[in-house]
This record gives sequence, structure tokens and C-alpha cells, in this order.
Amino acid sequence: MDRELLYETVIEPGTGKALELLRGQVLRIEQLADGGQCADFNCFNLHDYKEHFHTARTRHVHGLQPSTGAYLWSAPPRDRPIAVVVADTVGSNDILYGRCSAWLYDYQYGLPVHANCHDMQAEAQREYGLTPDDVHDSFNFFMNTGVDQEGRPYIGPNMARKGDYVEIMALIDTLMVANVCGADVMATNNFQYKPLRLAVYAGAEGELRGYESRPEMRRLQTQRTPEQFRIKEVKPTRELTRDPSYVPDFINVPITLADVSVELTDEDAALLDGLVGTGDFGTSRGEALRWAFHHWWIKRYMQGPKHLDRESAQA
Amino acid sequence: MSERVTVVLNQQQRELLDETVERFPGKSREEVLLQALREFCAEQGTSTGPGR
Repeated sequence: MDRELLYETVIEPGTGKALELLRGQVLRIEQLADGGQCADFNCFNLHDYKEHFHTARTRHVHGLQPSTGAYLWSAPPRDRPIAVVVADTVGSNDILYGRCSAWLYDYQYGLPVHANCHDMQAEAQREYGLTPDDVHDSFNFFMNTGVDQEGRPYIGPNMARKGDYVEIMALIDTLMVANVCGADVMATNNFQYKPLRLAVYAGAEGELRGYESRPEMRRLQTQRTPEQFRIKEVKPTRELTRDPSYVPDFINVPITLADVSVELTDEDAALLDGLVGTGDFGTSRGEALRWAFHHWWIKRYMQGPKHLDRESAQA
Repeated sequence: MSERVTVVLNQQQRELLDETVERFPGKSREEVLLQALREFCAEQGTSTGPGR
């Protein structure tokens, strides 16, 4: 898509850059030189840094390797898309691994002084007054990862080539921070650092409307804002002290149980006994019927990925 | 002779069940639960099994 270029820069190995992207604007992260370079990425609400990209919610909705069309979700209780991947010429991204840090190279490699994604993010974010504690789990663009048969994550060769790019559109006013991944002693970047081009483009209103009209963008009361918090201010001190006036006020408690009695035909009883017999659906007819109802409901009515099994997880 | 089974649901699960019953005008909680059971079991032949 042709876009109007607003700003561009190159981040060299060992560095990163924080950029303001207003709603609708698009950040392109582009491979230079030989390609094969991962970009670690943070994203904050420009007007409230406590709202930021959340790898876990994004994994839950889009899986371990989000690509074109995937939203970048903010953490609960905000729980909303704050950006979206609108282009990805490689399709090899990661939100499973954490950012590399000084400790990682010190402990695993015996290299106490080493470029690392955490420190690069922290230094880039300092331009906006953020501290090293504000760096959050990263979206690792162009990082090729997977999970093996035993459930262990692994890092594969970087498949990005010169000219490959990802584009991320801001859905709110954001601070986007990208850095040249500091992993030169693991496969993440094919054992060599390369610079990356960052370019900011004006957005297209129609494209923005398209992403804002998807079901995930529907606003719900459960996507809370600080105005709904009992404590609205950002905590000003590091020390934790107990509030002696605190009275617990959890939602929807006590959780109460009730029986629903169901008359069974011989055929229904046999079905339940069959489920119990598998060992997968509880240890009694009542538990099996509860399992069957919820499984049935999820398959028919639940929105988003269903997380029931391998097949439905891809739905 | 028919048998009865007791399903224990918390209030949130009952709310979900009641909302589901509304999707099936004329049906009761019992009938919806049994419909779910029959359809769930019918689909088990093609399913890869429960989530873990």
C-alpha cells in the first residue's frame, strides 16, 4: 500500500528508538543489509504509560506467532487492541520469549557487559521519562521460534531478508519503541547484528476503519479505565505499606452453587456413562453433563479462539 | 424407569445456561442440557479430545 512518509530513521546495532505514533499512523520496521535481524518492540498508550502492550493477552487471542491482522492487546484490566499488524512480509514473529537482558548474557555466557534488549529499550524509553522498570515483555518481530513436541520453546534461524518489513498501525495514540535485538550469540539474528530502518507513515482512514470495525474492537464495560479504579493515581513510592482501612470488596462473591436436576432417558444415561468411562470428562454423570454443556457451548457460541483442542485453537 | 442426574452449577454458570435456554424458545434448562449432551457426544467422533 502506498503511504505518505512522515519520518524515517535507522537504528544501529546496540540501539533503539522511541517514536510517537498517533492513532492511524503506521510504523514500518524494515530489514537492511543482509536482513535476518529481530526487532524487539514495546508499545505504550501515549497519554497513560500504565497501559501498554501485553504479550499474554495477545498470545491468548492470536497465538504464539502473530502476523498480519493480529491486534496488539493491552494488559488487563484495559484489555483492548492498541495497535494492529497491518503488513508482514515474512510471517515469523514471536511473543513467547522474553527480552534478553544483561543478566542473561552474564549468567549464560559469562559476558557481564553486553548489548541487550532490556537495556536498549530502557535507554530509548528514557527519552520519555520512563524507567528500566517500565520496559515490558516485547513483541519480537522477525524472531523465528516454535515449541517442540515436549513443550519446550526453541529459536530457529531468522528468515527475514533485505527489504522485508512489518507494519504496525496505532489504534490509539502510542509511544512505539523498537530496538535492534541484542542477541548475537544465539540464533535469533543469525549470529550477526544488522541495522533496521524505522519509518512512520500517515494512515489511511479507510484502512483504520476496517481494523476498528472488527468484533474484537467492540467496546465492553469490562475494558476498564483508570476512572473506574478504586485507586486512580499512579503509586508515587516504591515501598509497599498496608492500608489499615482496607476492606475486601471482590466482585460477584460469594460464589454460590446450586443443583440442576435433569431426568435422563436410558440413552442419555448411557451417553454420560460413556463420557465418564473415558476418564476425560469428570468422575460422575453430573460432572460429565456439566463438561458436555460447556464444551458444546464454547464450540457454538464463544467468540475468538476456543482453546479446546488443536483443531479449535486454530479457528 | 428414568433416572435423574444432578448438575452442580455456580451462579455464573447458571446465568450462562439460562441465556442459552433463551436461544431455544419453548425448551427448558433440562432439555437444553440434554441437547448439549447429545450433540457433544455426536461430535466426539471427530474431535481430538478435551483441552488440557
